[in-house]
Amino acid sequence: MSLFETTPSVNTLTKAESLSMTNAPLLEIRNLRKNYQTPAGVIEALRGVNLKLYPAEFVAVVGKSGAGKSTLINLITGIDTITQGEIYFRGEAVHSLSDEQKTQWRGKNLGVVFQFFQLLPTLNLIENIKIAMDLQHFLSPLERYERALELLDLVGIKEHANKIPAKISGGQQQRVAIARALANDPPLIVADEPTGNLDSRTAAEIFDLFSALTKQGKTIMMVTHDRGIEKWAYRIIEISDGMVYEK
Amino acid sequence: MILDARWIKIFKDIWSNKTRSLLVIMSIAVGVAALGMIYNANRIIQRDLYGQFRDGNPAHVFMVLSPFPKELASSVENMREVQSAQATRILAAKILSPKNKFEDISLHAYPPTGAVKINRFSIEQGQYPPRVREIVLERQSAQLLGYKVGDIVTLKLEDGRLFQLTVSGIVHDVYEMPFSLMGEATGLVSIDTLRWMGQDPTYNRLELVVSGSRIDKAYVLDVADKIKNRVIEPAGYMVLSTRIPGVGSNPGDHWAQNQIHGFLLILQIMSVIAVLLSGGLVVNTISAIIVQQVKQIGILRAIGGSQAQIMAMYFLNVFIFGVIGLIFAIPIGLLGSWWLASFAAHFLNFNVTAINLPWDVFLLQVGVGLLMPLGVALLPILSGTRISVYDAIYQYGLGNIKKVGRLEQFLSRIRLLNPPVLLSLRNTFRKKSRLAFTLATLTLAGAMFIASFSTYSSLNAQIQDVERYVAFDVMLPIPGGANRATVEREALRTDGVAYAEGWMLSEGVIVKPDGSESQGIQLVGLPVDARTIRPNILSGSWLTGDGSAQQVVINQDLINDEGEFRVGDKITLKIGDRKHSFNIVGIVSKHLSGARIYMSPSAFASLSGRHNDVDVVRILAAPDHLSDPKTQDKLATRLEERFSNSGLSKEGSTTRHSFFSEFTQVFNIILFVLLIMAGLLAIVGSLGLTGSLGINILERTREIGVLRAIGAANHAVVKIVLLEGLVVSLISWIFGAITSLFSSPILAAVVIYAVLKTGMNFRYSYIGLIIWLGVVLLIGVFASLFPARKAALLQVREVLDYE
Repeated sequence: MSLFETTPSVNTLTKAESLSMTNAPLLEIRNLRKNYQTPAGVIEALRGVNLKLYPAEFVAVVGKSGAGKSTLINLITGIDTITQGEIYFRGEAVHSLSDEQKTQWRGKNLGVVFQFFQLLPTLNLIENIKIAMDLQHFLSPLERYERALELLDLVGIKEHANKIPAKISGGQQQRVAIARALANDPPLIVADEPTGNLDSRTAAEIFDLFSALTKQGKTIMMVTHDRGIEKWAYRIIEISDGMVYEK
Repeated sequence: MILDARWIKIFKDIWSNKTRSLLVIMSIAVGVAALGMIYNANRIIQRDLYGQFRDGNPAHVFMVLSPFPKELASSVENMREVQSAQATRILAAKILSPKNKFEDISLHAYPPTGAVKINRFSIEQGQYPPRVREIVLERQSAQLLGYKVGDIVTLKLEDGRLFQLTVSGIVHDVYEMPFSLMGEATGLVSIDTLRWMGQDPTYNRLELVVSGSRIDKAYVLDVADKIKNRVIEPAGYMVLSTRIPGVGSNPGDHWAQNQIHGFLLILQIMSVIAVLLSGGLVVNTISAIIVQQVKQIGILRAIGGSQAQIMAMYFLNVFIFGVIGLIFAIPIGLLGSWWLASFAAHFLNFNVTAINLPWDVFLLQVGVGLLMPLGVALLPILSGTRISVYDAIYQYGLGNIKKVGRLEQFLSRIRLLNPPVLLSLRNTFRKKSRLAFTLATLTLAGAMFIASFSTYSSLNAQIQDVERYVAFDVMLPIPGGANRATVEREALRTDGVAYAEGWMLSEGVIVKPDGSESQGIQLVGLPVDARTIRPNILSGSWLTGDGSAQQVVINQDLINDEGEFRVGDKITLKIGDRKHSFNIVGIVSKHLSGARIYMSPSAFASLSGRHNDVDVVRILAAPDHLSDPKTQDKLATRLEERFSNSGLSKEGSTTRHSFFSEFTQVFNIILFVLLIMAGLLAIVGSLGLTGSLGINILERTREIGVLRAIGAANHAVVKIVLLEGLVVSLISWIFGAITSLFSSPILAAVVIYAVLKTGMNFRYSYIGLIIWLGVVLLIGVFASLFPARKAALLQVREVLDYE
C-alpha cells in the first residue's frame, strides 16, 4: 500500500512543471469576505479575496498580525463561517455545505495543522493519527494502524509511537499533527502557523517535511511569520488589510 | 481486534480521571442499589410473607360468640356462603417469663379431632397437638420469652390461679400479631388442658373463610350476618362481636398488608429520588467533562468527526459509568434487599426462604442504571458537541463578555472579608448551573432527612393525642367486675393513690337501620366527670350530667370504620340480646385502638343490665397531674398487691408509660428505616458535592497555581476549598429547611396513613433540622477534603502545563 494513493508521479517535478501540468485549480476562492462584530463595531477581516490553489503547490501566507491570515485559513477549512463569497474545492461549492457536511468534507479532503498542535492528550501518538482515519472509516482497522505507524515513520518519530503527546517535544508533537493531517490522504494540507511555537531548527525541519509532501503531490497552504519561508514555498501570498497580494 | 481510537480515548479519559469517574459510578450505584433493594425486598415480602400467609388459608372474619360446642362450626360450614369454619377457644392469661415477670398470653385451643384448617401454622420443633398439661408456644413468643421445648412454664388465669405446663412444641404462626409488636404471647393448648385448668370445654370464636368470587369487607360482613341469623341465633347462641382480622385490612389479607404496602411505597419513592439525585451528579460531571474537553471536541470536529460520532463517544463514557455502577449496584441491592427483608421478617415474624434476584427487578435496575445516566446526559452532550470548531478551538474561554449577576456585584462590594474567604464565596457562585444541581441534591437529601424526623415527631404527636384517653398512672382490670364503690375505696386505700375511678367495659355492636350489625365496638361506661380521660372534642360536647342516660360520645375511629355519624344522630347499640337507642352528643378524636363509644354509668347499665359493676380501675398518684414512670411502676406493684390480697383482682396492671413504650418501639423502627433511606440520599448528595468541588478545582487550576505562585501556603488553598464546601452545605441546609416545610407534612401524612390508617397531627422536627445542620456541615468538610488535598498538591509548573 502506498502512503499517498492519489499521488501522481510528481515528486520529481519542478514548480513550473507542476503548475503547467494542470489548469484546474484544487481550490478556488472568489470574492471572499469576512466581517466580525465586536463591541467597537464591525471589523472587516477579509475584503474580497480571490485566490486559486493548484495541486502540489507549497503556498505560504504571510502578513502582519491581525491582517487576516488565520481568518483566511479558517474560512478555507470551514472552521469559521464566511460573510460573503464562494469557495470551490475541485469544483465543489464548499461555501454552501452545512456544518456537518463541511466536517465530512474536511475529514476527507483536508489536513489541518494548528499552531498549538492540538493533539488529544490521553491518546498515544499512533492513536492520535489513527483517530482521524477511524472517524472517516478510512481503510480497514488493521490498515489504519499500519498506516499510522508508516506516517510516524515518515515524520521521523516512529520510535515514540506509544508515547502520549506530553512525553515528547513540541517539534515532535507538530510532526505528529502533520502525520495526523496526512492520515486520510487529503490532497490539501492547511497549516496555521505550524512553526510558531518551535525553534528555528525544528521549524526548518517542518518546512522540509512540507516541501517533501508537495513533491508527493500534496498542496500545502501555510500561514507563517517565518522570514526564511521563500526557501521552501513556491508561492508567497501576502495579506494586508484584508486583501491578498501575490508576492 | 483493533479498537477505534475514539473509543480508546473514552476508556483512557475515564481511567485518567479515576476519582471523578468513581464518584459518578458510586452515585449511580447508590441510587440503583437503593432501587433494587426496595423493589426486591418488596418481592421477597410478597413471596414469603404473603405467600406463607395465603398458604395457611387465612380467616376472612372472626365471630366472637357466647360459649358454643364445636358442632356449631360444622353447621355453619354447611352454608353455601361458607367455605370453611373452625371453632376456637381463646383465653387471655399471663405467662411468667424467666425474668420473673408476668406477660400477657393468648391461649388458643382447637377441637381435639381434625386438623387446623384455617390460619394454619407450621410446627417447627417438638410436636402438635399438645397433650394435657402441655403447651405449644408460637416461635417468636418462645424466643422472646426464652423458652424451649421441654421447659416448664407458669400460667396465671384471670382469677389468679397458677398452672404449670410443659412446652411440648414450637410453632410458627404468621396470623397472630407478633409478641414483639403487641406485647402478647401466643400459646396453643388442648381443650382438655383448659378443662384441667377449670375452664368449660367450649369454644368462643368462630373463624371463617367465606366462599365467593368477590370477597370484600361488605360481602364478608353480610355473610357473617346471614350466619348469625340462620345458624347461630336459631341455635341459641349469641354473637358478641364480628371482626375482620388485621389493622384495617381487607378480608384474607395479611394483618399489616396495607401498612407494609404504604411503607414500601414511601421507600420506593425515596429510592427513585436517590436515582434522580445521582442523575444530577451525572449531569454535573458530564457537563464538566464536556466543558473541560471543548477544545478536544473542536479538534475532533476539525479532523472530520461528525457531531453524531462525538456524541457517541460521550454516550459511551456515560454508558461505561452506568455499566460499572450496575456491577456494584446489583449485588449491593441484593444484599440490601436481604437485609431489609430479614429486618421485616424479624419484625413481622415470617421466614425469608431464599434471596434471589427476579428478572424484572434485575431488568429494572439495568434499565434505570443505563437509561437514567444516558437520558440525563443527553442535553449536556447535545449542547456540548454542537459547538463550532472555531469557537471550540479559538474562542472558548476568551473574551466572553459575561453579564455580572447581582450576587457577584454584591460579593465584589464586600471588603471586610479575607481575600481567601471572598474567593471561596465568589467561587461558589461562579458556575450557577452546577451549584444548582449540587444544591438540589443536598437540599432534597436534607428535606427528606428533616421530613423523616418530622414524621417521627408527628407519630409521637399522634400518640400524645391518644394519651388524652390514657390519662391514668395505673390501670388494673377487675375480671368479672366488682362494685364500683368497693373498687374505688380499695384503690384509694393503696399507699400513694390520690384518685381512683372505675370504668365499665363491654363489647357491643351497632344495630343498623336495615337490622344488620357492625363489627365489635368497645363500649365504655364512665363517670361524666372522669379525670383519667381528657377528651379532644371535635364536635358537639362531652357527656353531661343531665340526661346523660340517653347520651353517647363516639370517637373518630368509629366513623372511619362504620361510616358517617353526626352529632344529633340516633344510634342503636346492642350488648348480647339487649338493645337501646342513644343520642350522639359528641365526637372525640382518634384513639388508634379502634372504635369506642363512651356513655355514663346509667346509660351503660340500661344497655348491659349491669348496675354499679366496674371492669377496670384507673388511678392517679396526684389528683391533678400524671406521675413519672418510676412512680407509676411503684404504684402498680402496690395496687396489684392490694387487689390481689383483697381478692378483687389477680390481674397484672398497666402503667401509662408501658402502654406507650410498644408504640415508641414501632416508631423507632420506622424512623430507622426512613433515616437509612435519607442517609442514602445524603451519600448521593455528598458525592455530588465532592464531584462538584473537584470539577471547580479542575477549572480553577490556573487560579490556584497563581495563588501558590504568589505565596499561598497549602493550608490557605485547603481553606479556600473547605470554605467553599461549607458555604454550599450551609446554603443547601437553608434550602433544605425551606423545602422540608413542604416535604415533612407530606411524608408524615403518607407514613401515618400507611402505618396507622389515620389522619395526622403534624409536628415539625426542629431537632431533625439541627441534626441535619451537623450532618450537612460534616458532609461539606468530608466532601472538601479530597478536592482540597488535590488542590494543595498542585504545583505551579503543573498549572503552567494545564491547557
